[in-house]
Amino acid sequence: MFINNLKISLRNLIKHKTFSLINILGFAFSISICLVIALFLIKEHSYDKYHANADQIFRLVDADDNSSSIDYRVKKAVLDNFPDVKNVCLMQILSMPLETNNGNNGYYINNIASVDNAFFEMFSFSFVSGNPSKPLQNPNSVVLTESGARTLFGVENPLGKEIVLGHQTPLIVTGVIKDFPDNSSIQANMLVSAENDKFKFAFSCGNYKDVSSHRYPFRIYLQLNKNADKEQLINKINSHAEILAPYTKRIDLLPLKEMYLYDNTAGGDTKKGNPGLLRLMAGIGLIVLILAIINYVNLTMAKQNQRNKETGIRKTIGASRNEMVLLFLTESVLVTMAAFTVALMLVFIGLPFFNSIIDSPLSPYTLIQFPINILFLISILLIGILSGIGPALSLSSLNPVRVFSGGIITIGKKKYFRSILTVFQFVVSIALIICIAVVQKQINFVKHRDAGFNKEQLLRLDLPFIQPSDRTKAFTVLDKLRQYPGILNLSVTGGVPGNIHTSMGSAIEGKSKSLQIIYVDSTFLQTFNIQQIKGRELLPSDIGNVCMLNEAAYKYFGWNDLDNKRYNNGKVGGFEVIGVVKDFHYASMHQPIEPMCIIFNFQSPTNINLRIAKGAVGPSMDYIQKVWKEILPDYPLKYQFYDEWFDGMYRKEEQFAKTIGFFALLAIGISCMGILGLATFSAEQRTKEIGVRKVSGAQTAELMIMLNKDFMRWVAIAFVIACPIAWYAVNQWLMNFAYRTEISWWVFALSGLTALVIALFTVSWQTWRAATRNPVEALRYE
Amino acid sequence: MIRTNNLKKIYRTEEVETTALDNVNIEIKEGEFVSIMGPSGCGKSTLMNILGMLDNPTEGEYNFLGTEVSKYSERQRASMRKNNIGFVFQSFNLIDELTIYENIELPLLYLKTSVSERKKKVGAVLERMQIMHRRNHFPQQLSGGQQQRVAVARALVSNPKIILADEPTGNLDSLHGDEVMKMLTELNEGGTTIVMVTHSPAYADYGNRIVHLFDGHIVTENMKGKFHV
Repeated sequence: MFINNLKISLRNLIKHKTFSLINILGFAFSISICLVIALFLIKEHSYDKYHANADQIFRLVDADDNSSSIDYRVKKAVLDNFPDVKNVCLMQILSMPLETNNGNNGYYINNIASVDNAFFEMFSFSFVSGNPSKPLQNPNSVVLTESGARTLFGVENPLGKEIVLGHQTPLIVTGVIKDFPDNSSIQANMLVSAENDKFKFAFSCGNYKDVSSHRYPFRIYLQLNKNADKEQLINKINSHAEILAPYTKRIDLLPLKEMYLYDNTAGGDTKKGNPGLLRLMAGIGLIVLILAIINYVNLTMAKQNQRNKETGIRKTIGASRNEMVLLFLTESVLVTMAAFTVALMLVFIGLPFFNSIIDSPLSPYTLIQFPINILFLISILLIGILSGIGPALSLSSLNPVRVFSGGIITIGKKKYFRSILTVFQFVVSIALIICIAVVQKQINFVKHRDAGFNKEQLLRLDLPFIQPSDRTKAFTVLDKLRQYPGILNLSVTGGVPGNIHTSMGSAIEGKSKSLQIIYVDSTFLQTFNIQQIKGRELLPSDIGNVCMLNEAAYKYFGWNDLDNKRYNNGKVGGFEVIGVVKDFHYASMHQPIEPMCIIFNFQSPTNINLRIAKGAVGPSMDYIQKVWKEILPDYPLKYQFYDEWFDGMYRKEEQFAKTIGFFALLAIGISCMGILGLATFSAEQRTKEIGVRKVSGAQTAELMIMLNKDFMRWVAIAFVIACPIAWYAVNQWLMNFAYRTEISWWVFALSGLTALVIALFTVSWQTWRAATRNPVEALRYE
Repeated sequence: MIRTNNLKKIYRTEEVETTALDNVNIEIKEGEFVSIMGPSGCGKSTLMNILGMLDNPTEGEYNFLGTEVSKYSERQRASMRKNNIGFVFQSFNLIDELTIYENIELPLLYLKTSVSERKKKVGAVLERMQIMHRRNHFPQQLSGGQQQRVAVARALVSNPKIILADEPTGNLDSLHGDEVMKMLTELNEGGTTIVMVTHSPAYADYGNRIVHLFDGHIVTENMKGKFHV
């Protein structure tokens, strides 16, 4: 019987090729989304579980401050007093890149971790070279990851070689480990010894002169004995608060396996996931799956009439209802299998795109690995049954007498439910189209809004910390760059638009305000094309004594002129305010322009800014690199164009736009499937009416309008519901920006129109078929 | 074999009540060939549906093979049907997606007949109906007469006690119609009870009894012998 069911199911699918294709592709499309979401969820839940001791490792948390920053001396106190604790390690990651030299070659290395030897004992690492047991043999040992080693040494074997950190600390490479896997919340490129005082990166104190108040916070990881109970240990430690005093009082333990998703402590320096996003994704996956199943049911039911005869014959011959249910379930499982196969192909094809959106590489091969593959097969069966059971029960309940007598078999009561579902799908589609339009409009707005300075052809070079002995060389570089004809202007600054790291308070005429500060040289305004709107010209003798304010600061202080105005900070007597510049965006447009001060004082330079002539970028870049390499070979060269840099500040928004676009496409796809099902169903249901109307003289166009009217009404209803929802959502999102595009009416109109056109396009094929059918054929049953 | 007592079938919609059969009393003995005639809408098909246990009567009794079945559930009726009744329809009602062989095999599948037994029985009936050469064809590839031949073969294959034929010649030309009637006659002569609905007096005459229905009532019953004195 099963073979017979399989055979007839297959033949049915082949016979109604177009219908099967639409059904399978639609289903596959939704399933592929679910699979990608499943891959994402699997990946996000796999973090840190690969460590052999993962079940026994916990991070120590200061329960009073809810902080993971705890003084390193707690390690010894815990190890000495609590036998349940098998091992303890220290870890701290430097948040900024550090210059690292291999001989004369300088590089910036990100994620430098300060750890002890216990770190290598507790966590699982693959050593490529070096001694895995106590690799940090002394305070000047360093372990590199393969990527770190490649950056510093290329293909050379780095073992036993020397590198220099920040031009000051020589270190010997004692080991190379494989890179931290992507699903590790700890990410580092270089591991240095926490025993070395220079690598106690952070420091805090109550009183600088009182050494006993000095604290060196680390992240402290505990490995418990296999039979140790976490809660008991917490109670034990907390009941002996004096042991960990004065560094901490009450502690808690955060399991390593939960660290990625559920670490809400302050001071954590590991990669963090977003459980809210995971819940949202799981929800989306579930909704997509439900909609896909409902659409499948809709389409299958819409084609019910084609199966009525077969059902009638089988039941007449003696098929029981169960046997009929089994037949239809075989078919739905077969469709699901085909859909899963196509979905798997879609995942393989589409995953690179999705990876670029979520910035977290997923591998489709996860789906064919044990035990996921078993779950995968069970899902096929379950989804097949879930999607097939409704139509199976409905079709199998048909009375053969009615089938053979040609009675119209309706399932009309469910029509309204299906209409509501379609409206809902279109609400989501239209709302997402509106959102994506507004998001894109806002991104264009912030990217193209006048920043108040000219970002085109403007290059930023980062100045590393230049050793006093190399300062003359640095000046030579500046001179050489100034002389190059492709470089129109050059300005050396401490802080730049986009990265201001100084702010100072100021009490001026009774008003106190902390101002953003940039230290600049005399060519700053010219290089950046910043317009001075008030005050006098800068004189060579002014350097070190004067400053200019932006409009916002001028307004804040409520001045009418600049007579005898001073900015009272930075040095004794402050700076004379000699001018006001037009407001310019010194940060992304998420932030409003606050009062700021430009101090003309050449101290603590962090950047060289260069205006490059049009058409001279290539040769100028070659020249800059050549000069730098010749004169300052020990220092890494890092540069970026301002336009790219500022555009990059909206990358999150662009990713957001891509994600919305992705889901909008998905919602539209699902909606189209839904509406196609309804159109098919409606055309079947109205066969007789269409026939009668045609016989009475109705034209094809008139019939199409009649049939399409319903769907247009649903889109219109969906549009009315979607508009306020989308308006509210985009308004909330735009709150993230200080400078916002307006939400124009045409965005809504265009989105509605887009949905309408897509809906019309989808249903017209079905309605055209119905309207052009031979009326004799349509009325044959009468 | 079949005995009905005051059989009534009423179709009800929200506002209209239609009596399709009214106090129908009929008895059919084993081995009989009964033809049912009457104008369109007189209740012939309704009577066939009830006799074939595709539908239950609204009132009255229906005794089939000594068992009262008028109140049977759908499951009981399906079981009784597949074990005892073969159907032949005007529009053949073959499943388009199945081959001739598979269409004929279908009743045996629902009777859970073993594979070897099925092969044997289907083979025999294909031979008997002289359609062995068409066994791998699909219904659309056959003429109307051949399709009806297949439908008869399918009705026969499970060796039913009775064959209900609802206008089996309605969609056929006279040549093929005659052929089908010849087949039914042969089956009847072999001992199979046949009840046939027809509009054609000539084909009705193949039966040994003709029942005339009008507006849901049996108006006359003619024994063949009396009709053709």
